[in-house]
Amino acid sequence: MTRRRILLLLLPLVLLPVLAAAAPAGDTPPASPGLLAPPDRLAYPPLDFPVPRAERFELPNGIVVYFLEDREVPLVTVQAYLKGGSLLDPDGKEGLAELLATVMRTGGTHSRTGREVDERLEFLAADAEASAGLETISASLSVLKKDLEEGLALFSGMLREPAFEEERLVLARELKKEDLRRIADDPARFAFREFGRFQYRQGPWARLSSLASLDAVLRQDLVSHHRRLFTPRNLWIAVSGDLSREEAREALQRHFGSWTAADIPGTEAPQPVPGRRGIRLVSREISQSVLIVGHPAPSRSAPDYHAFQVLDFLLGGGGFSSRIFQEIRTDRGLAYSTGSFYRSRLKHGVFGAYAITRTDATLSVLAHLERILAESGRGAFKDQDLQAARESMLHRFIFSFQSPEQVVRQRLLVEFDRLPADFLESYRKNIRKVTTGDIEAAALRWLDASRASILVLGDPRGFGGRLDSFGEMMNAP
Amino acid sequence: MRNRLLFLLLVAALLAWEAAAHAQDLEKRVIRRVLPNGLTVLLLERPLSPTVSLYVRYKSGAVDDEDGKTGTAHFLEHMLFKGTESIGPLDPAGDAELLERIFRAGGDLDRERARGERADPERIKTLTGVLRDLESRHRATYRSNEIDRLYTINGAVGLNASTGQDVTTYHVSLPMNRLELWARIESDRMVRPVFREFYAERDVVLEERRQRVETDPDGLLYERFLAAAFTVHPYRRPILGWASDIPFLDPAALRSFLRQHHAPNNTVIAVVGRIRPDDVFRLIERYFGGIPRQEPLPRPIAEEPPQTDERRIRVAFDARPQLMIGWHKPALPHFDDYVFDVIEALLSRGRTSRFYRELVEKKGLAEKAAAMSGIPGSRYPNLFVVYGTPRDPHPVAALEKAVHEEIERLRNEPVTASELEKIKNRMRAEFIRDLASNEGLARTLSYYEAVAGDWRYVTGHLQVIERITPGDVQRVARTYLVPENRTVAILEKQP
Repeated sequence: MTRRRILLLLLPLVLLPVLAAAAPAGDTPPASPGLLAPPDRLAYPPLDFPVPRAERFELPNGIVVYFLEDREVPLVTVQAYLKGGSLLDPDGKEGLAELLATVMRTGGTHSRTGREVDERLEFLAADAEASAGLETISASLSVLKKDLEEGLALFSGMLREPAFEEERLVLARELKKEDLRRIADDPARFAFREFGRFQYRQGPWARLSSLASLDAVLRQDLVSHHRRLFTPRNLWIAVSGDLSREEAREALQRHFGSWTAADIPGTEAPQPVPGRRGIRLVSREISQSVLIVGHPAPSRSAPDYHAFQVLDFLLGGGGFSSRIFQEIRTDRGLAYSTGSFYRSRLKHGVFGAYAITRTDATLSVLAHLERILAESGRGAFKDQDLQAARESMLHRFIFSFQSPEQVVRQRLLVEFDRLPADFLESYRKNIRKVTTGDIEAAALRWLDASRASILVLGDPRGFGGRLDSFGEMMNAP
Repeated sequence: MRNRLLFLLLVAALLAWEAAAHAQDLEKRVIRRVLPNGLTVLLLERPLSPTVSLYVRYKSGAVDDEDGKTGTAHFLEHMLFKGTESIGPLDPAGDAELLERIFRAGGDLDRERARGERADPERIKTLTGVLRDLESRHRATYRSNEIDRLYTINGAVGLNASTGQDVTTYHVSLPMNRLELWARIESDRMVRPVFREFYAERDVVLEERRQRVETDPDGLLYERFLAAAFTVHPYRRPILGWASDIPFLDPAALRSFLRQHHAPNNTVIAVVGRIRPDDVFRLIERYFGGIPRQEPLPRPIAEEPPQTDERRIRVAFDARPQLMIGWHKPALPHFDDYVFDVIEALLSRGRTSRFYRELVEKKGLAEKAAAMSGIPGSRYPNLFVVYGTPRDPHPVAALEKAVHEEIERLRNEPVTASELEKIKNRMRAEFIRDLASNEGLARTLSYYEAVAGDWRYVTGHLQVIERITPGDVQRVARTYLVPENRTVAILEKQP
């Protein structure tokens, strides 16, 4: 029963970004359907789903802990979250947070070398990883219950007193550099990475690591950045699995309780300012183009967050029945991968519509994408569309809470992201409240063509027309 | 050193006991029943979340495509999302009639296009116009993407299907109270699908091919590599189909594939989640029980002759270099296949694996180096594959040499007891971790029931692994991992 990791073994029907979401609903009484009854007339027993809770406690030093017991398998999972990610990388040292996370995991602790840590974890068949996003650094540990003590000792050693061995920093840096050199070999990955920079135009959000910026990150940078961010009051921990609340509290107190360090670090970064409409072309001589039409979008605490969620679902986040997929893929056969994504951050959001299409269809697909976005502010979605999207999102809500790890994580993130305490409880109510008027208002407000960031990767000689007829071309920095 | 080994053996013994207990428990909890028409059903109750994960596996895939019609299994998988006779039609008579005319026009167009350079451009233009016109009239007679809509409004997640060389799979997770919808849709599309939007979807598959093969160095290398490693066996052909076959796939080929391969006696279903097994079984009986069994097909699959010399190919592509090496080996449940699972883990699972230690860390030659056993499928004798990417400034040749050295080490030196135990420990823990997800369990149980003929391959796997000795590893390496049995494929820029 080996885990096959190569993607090409199977070809799925559709490659879509995975979305979390949705919940239950009461229904009509069961009938007895004949074999060919229209599936819409099937009746289902009601399903009541109270959002699962997790227990919350604090360690005396300020670490916030969310906990859920689950005895099914003899495993314990620990997830740690800290504020501060690559947004805080100093100019010229882009990639610092990412290297910090990697070398924290691989570079040893005060009492063990990196190699010893690797060997102990392997010995215990435990998994530990760490990674950095734009606003967050996270780490996780999965360990057999019987090895919890030693697993936690290693894990807390990494978080509290990483040694950042020079040799492991060099390795992490060289691997990251090779990864950068290879990004251009994967057109979709390359395009989405460049889009990540282009949509913000400038400022801390618009930066990406480069070979030079990675070379500029020194061990001392990791040490001081770690000292700044890693304090008990900037740490949230989710624990779930085969242990009791008291066992969890005592174990965490043993391994993290003696940690006293300075105050909460300042981790706020200035928010991005939406730019005006622009197009960036990344020239590549290939037979397909990657197109992304980006727009600013609401933050997770914005009043129109739920309306925008529904809008994204209707446009391209909701699978086959969503408008972009239907029009670009099903009706016209112009793409295999197409749809939209909505990423809501703490204080702003990003929306993008995308398609990967043959070179000579590039301009017509771009026109279709922009038309579909524009129509969403002009009554494109009727009551029945809204109804279907709402149903879908409400019914699938339960899948955000399938495992104990998911439950504690969801609960923890509400507090971590400073969302209203009833964010999860009121999610379904808020989705139900969304009207077609709300969707149109959200579309008009956010999907304003004069603020679109359009990224096209492809071979312009084969477009059969002028890309600059769509707007001003903007060069890469 | 001795103490360490003793400690490791103690840890290992505990974990082996723990894993064995879980394996035993799983054997008690999984219910396996076979309907009179041959449909195999696996049921497992996991009450944690009010959801259920559903897998339908057909024991057929790309290997069963006819030559000249490669890509049939995969295209059929796409077309099974286009509705059925009773799912989708708004005007059933118009739907059926226009579809007939569309297939006739599409057939005429394909025949003209097949003439290649002798094709008449005027006639192609006319026929394309006729086809487009029929298609747009057809659109008013049915609801597009109805299967997806039904699933989606009922809260489905993970709705997808996939085609492999050996198995085709349709899977979805639903709120527990919506099981009947799944039974209604899956039993219907198993026998009565309607191929609406046929020609537009064929274009989608061509876009898929552009995306996965033509513009993707990994995909291109993999396709060329398999075509070199296998000379006769259908594993040499891409799942998507050859570029020259896809544009001519026709509805008749798909229909005949469906009839032959989507028979209940060729099908495995797994249901895992908060269920009442008896109720679920009755539901499946009600919806699937009436589907008639088909005579099992003789499968005249050509056997791959033994390889006697190294094969070597070069793929020119504008990308950083990549390396793929494969050795022929037997399929499960051959004992040596289990040994290869151990070798795979030994070489490339985790940060203390040999490839990571030697090629990535110590020598600094590789960005990635991974071993994979069972490529490109599991039903027939397959390959043990090493895939690697060199790290600048090292040439791909240096990485290749280092890989061969590691393989040689497997042949020349017995693995130490502690290294072998470490690997087994990881496999035991992974077994336990894999028990914690509905989706994962449904996937694994149904896969091995379909491929190994018995899902208990999963629980028996560890017992066999426990028996593997350093001598087995060395013998297997000496038998299969030899130069005359390997194919080397290198992708790099045109010099």
